[in-house]
Amino acid sequence: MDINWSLIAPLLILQIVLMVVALLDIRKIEQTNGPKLIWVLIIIFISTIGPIAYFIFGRKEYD
Amino acid sequence: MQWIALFKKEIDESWHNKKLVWVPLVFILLTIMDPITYYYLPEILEHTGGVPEGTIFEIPEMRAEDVVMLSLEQLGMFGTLLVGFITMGTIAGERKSGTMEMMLAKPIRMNHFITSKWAANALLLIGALTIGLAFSMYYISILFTTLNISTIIGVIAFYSIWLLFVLSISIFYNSFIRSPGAVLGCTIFTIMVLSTIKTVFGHKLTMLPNQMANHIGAFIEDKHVHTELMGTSAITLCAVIILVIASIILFKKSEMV
Amino acid sequence: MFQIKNLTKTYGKTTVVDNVSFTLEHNRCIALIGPNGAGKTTTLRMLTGAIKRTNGTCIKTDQKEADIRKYIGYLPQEPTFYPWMTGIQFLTYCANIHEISKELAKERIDEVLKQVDIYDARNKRIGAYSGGMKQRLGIAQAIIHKPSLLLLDEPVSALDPIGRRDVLTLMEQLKKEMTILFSTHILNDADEVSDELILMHHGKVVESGNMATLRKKYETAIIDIQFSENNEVYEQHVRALPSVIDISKSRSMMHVSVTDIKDARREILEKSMTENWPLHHFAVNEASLEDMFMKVVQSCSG
Repeated sequence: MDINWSLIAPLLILQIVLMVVALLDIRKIEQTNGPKLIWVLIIIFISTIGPIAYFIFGRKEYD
Repeated sequence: MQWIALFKKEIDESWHNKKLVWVPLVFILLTIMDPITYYYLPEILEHTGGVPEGTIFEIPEMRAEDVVMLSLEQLGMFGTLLVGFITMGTIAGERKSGTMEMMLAKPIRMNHFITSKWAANALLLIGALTIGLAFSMYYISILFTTLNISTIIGVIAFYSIWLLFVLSISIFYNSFIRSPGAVLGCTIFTIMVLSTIKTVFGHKLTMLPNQMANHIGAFIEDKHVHTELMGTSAITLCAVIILVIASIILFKKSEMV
Repeated sequence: MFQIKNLTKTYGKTTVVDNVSFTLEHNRCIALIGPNGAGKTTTLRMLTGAIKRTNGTCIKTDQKEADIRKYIGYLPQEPTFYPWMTGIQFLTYCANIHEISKELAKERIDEVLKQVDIYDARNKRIGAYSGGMKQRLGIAQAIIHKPSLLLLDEPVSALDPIGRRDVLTLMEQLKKEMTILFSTHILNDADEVSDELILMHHGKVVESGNMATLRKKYETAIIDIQFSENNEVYEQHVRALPSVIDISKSRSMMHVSVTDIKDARREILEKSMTENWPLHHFAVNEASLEDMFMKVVQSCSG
C-alpha cells in the first residue's frame, strides 16, 4: 500500500502531543478524580479519547 | 477594569487546566480525520479484507466541497458535545466548589461575571475552530482541491455563530444550576429538542440555528451568501443575546451556594 | 454603622432565620453564637448576598450605596480557592475586582501578606498551602480593601490550637480598624475576643448585648470553696451559715449557692479567721458564657 507518511505523520504527532500534555498535567496536579495510576494508564493506552476523558473528567479543578 | 480582571482569570485558568492546548488539538483531530479517511478509503477497504477478489468499489468521487461538509458534520456531532463538556462547569463548578460564595461577596457586577465567562469561552472555542478548520483546509488543498480564502473565512465565521449558540445555552443553564453534570444534561437535551424540531418542521422553518451547517453547505457550493444563511445567522445571534441576558437575570436571583 | 433589620430566610415552610435584627457599631467585635443549625451561617450569607433574603434589609447608615458588598469582607467557613493561583496572584485578582489602583494594590498586598503572616509563601501555589495558611489567605482576601465590616464564619473552629491562637490574635489587631462579626459555636472563642454577643437559637436572636452587661444579668450567686483537709466536716459548717442555700460538689470543690454574694463572703471569711478553717480555695464564681448559654437556650426550649 502506498501511504504518504507526510500526511499521516501530523495525525500521529497530534495524538502524541495530546497524550504528552495530559501526562505532564497529571504529574503536576495535586489530585485527580479517582486513582492517578488508572488515569495514567487510560491516557497512555486509549489514544485520543483517553487524554480527552482525563481532561474532562479526571482533573480536579478545585481542592 | 473589573471585567478585564475577571476575563483574564478565565484565560489564565484555561491555560492552567490546559484547555487552551487540548481543545484546539481535539478540534484539529476532529476536522482532519475525515479528509484523510476519505482520501485513503479505497486502500483501507482493500486492506481490511473480507472483500471477494475482483470486487470493484464504486466510491463516489469526493470534491473538496464535500469533504468540508464532512468535517462540519463531524463538528456538529462531537464538536457540539465537546462545547457542552468544556463549558459545563464554568459557573456551576464554582458554585459547587464554594469559590463563588467567597468571590461574589466582593462587589463583582453580575453582568461582568457572566459576560467575562462567556467571552473567555467564546474566544477559546472560536480560536480552536479556526485552528481546526485551517488544518482541515490545508489537508483538503493537498488531497483534493484548494478552496478560496473567502470561502474558508466565511465557513469559520458562520460556524462560529453556531458554537456561540451552544455556548450560550450552556451558560444559561450554568447560571442557575448547581451541578456541572446537570448543566451538560440540560444543554444536550435542548440541542436534541431543537434537532427534533428541525426534523419535524424543518421544511417550513428554514432558519433554525441548527440549520446553520446546511446553509453553510449551500454557501460553499455556490460561493454566495443566501438569504437563509443570513437569516439563520441573525436569528442565532439574537438567540445568543437573549440567552446571555436571561443568564444574567437568572444568575442575580440564584443562590450562590 | 451597619443596621440589619428583619432578616428572614424561609425554605418552603421551614424558617431558617426568623426576623433577625441587630446593629453593628464601629470597631466592635461581635460574636454570633449559637448551637449548630441556629442559623448563624445563613445570617452571614444573607449579609453578603450569597443567599437571597426572603425578607429584611442590611444598610450601612452613612452610605446611600445599595451594594454594601463594597464595605464588607467575608471569609466563609470552608474557603475554597483556585489551587493553580499563587497567594500573590490571588490577592492581586481580588484587588483588581475591588478596582484598587495598581500601585496602591501592590503596597496593600504586601502589607496584608505580612499582617496574616504568609508573606514567605506568597509565590507558592495555593494548592500546596496548609489548612492554616488557607485560613490566613482567606482573611487576607477579606481585608484587602479595608472593609468597614469583616464577616468571619467559624474562623477558628477548624484550626489546631496554635492556628487558633494566631487567628484570635489577628482578630484582636483587626478590630482596631474595622467591625468584626464572627460566628462560632465555641464559647471560649467568643469569650476571648468579642465585646458583644448575639445569641441565636432556632433562627432567632434570643439574647444580645454587651459582654459585661450580659455577665451581670446572668450572674449566679455561687461561691466555690475548697479546704485542704476534712472537707466533709467543713461542709457541715458551711451549710450552717445563714446565707447559704445549697451546696453541690464536684470532687473536693464545693459550689455554694448563696442568697447574697457579699453576705456570704463576709460570713465565710470571718469563720475562717476566727475558727481557723483550712481554706484552700475561695472564688466568687463569675457567670460563664456556658452557663448563660445554657440558661438562655433552656428558657427558649422550655
